[in-house]
Amino acid sequence: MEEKDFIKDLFQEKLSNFETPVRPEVWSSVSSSIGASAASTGLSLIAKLIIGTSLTAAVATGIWFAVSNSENEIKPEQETTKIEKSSDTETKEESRIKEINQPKFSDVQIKTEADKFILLPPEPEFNFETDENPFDATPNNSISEFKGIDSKEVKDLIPPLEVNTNPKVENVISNQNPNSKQSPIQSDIKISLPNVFTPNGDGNNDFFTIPKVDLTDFSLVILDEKGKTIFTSTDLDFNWDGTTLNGEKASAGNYVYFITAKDLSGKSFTKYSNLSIRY
Amino acid sequence: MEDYELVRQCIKGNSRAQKALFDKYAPKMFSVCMRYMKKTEESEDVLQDSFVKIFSKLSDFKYEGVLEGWIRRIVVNSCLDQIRKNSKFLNDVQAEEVEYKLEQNSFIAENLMAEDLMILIQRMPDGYRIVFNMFAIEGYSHQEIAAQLGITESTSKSQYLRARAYLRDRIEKR
Repeated sequence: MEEKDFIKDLFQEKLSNFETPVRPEVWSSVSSSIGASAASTGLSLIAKLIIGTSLTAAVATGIWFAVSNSENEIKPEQETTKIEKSSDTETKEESRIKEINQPKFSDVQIKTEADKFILLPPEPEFNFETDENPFDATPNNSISEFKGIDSKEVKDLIPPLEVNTNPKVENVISNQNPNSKQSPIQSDIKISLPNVFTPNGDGNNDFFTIPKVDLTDFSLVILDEKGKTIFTSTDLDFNWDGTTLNGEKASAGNYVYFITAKDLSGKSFTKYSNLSIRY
Repeated sequence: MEDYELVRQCIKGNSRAQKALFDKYAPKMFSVCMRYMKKTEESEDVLQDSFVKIFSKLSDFKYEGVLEGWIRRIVVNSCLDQIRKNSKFLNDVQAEEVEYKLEQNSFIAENLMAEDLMILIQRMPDGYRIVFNMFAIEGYSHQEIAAQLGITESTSKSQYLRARAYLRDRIEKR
């Protein structure tokens, strides 16, 4: 029986020198484990030089910063002038906005003079829009006032032309805010979820399933201890044999799974449980 | 660099030599880990532990055999340690007769890539896989396997024969 072992020969020949690429991270953790002695002897002269020069450079910059800071402290006037300047620029910007708007209107007017009958009628509408709409006329102000709220949402809720004043907008938003943060209505379906199964092929509790209930839009995710997804299903009647997404058998240990679904009345159903896999 | 010089430099703490030694043997040893451990993450952990052990014990290496063989022993032992930690295994197998087939269709082997064989091995049940790896590929004797795994020699033999039948079956079905 020992004379010719074809399987043995085959596997020995093909696999005894088979190489699998190793991620560089493995070496870095090995090298850090085998200690600092390796690291210190490994440094070349150049590396030492670089470290030395960078150290002196760091010291030098530190001193420079200290000096430049003290310079700033001596001259507080500069800051105030800066503030004035910045407020100046703000007003300039405002006037710029006006300037930008005005030429446009004049442009239109000039054009309308060219072809009076066609372009004159739309002109009043255009004016009305820019004057009445808080979002278009002063975009900076309106957005900064409603920080944290999706401006799209606001625009969706309120068609711009119907809103005339700012206070109204604020009211709508303050009413809307608490609602938008509330979670959807939870289904009151009760379900007892399994928390252990033994995919060892002994015919007993080999598959992981959940009890049959009336749920739609079902989805299930099983995570391992590291938070890695090892199994997902969108089928309520799934039958999991313990094989993970990468085709390996899940090892014995603790897992957690999440279920999200909707019941028949459309209420959302979310539940999670731990899952212990044993062999 | 020759292994002898490499080992000498590594013992001296030359990090470049250590990296060279790792680069030379890690890919092969990673395959060994993958055969025993199945899972990539666990294999990486074992590989890492093995090399930490290898570097710390390198001064014990007596040049009595090939360096690769010495390294491989450490890696296999680390794998076995980890498997032992993971679960009890090989607990209830009796020696029994296994059917034999004439092994004549060796042409099948030509079409099999090493990667395919790796997958076949990784899908084997733990007991088969470990004994098969040790006996067929690493070349341990059944006596050594029995001592290492704490099983009887006849269990090791029967596990191996079963593993072989299992693999032959899978290969012929392809």
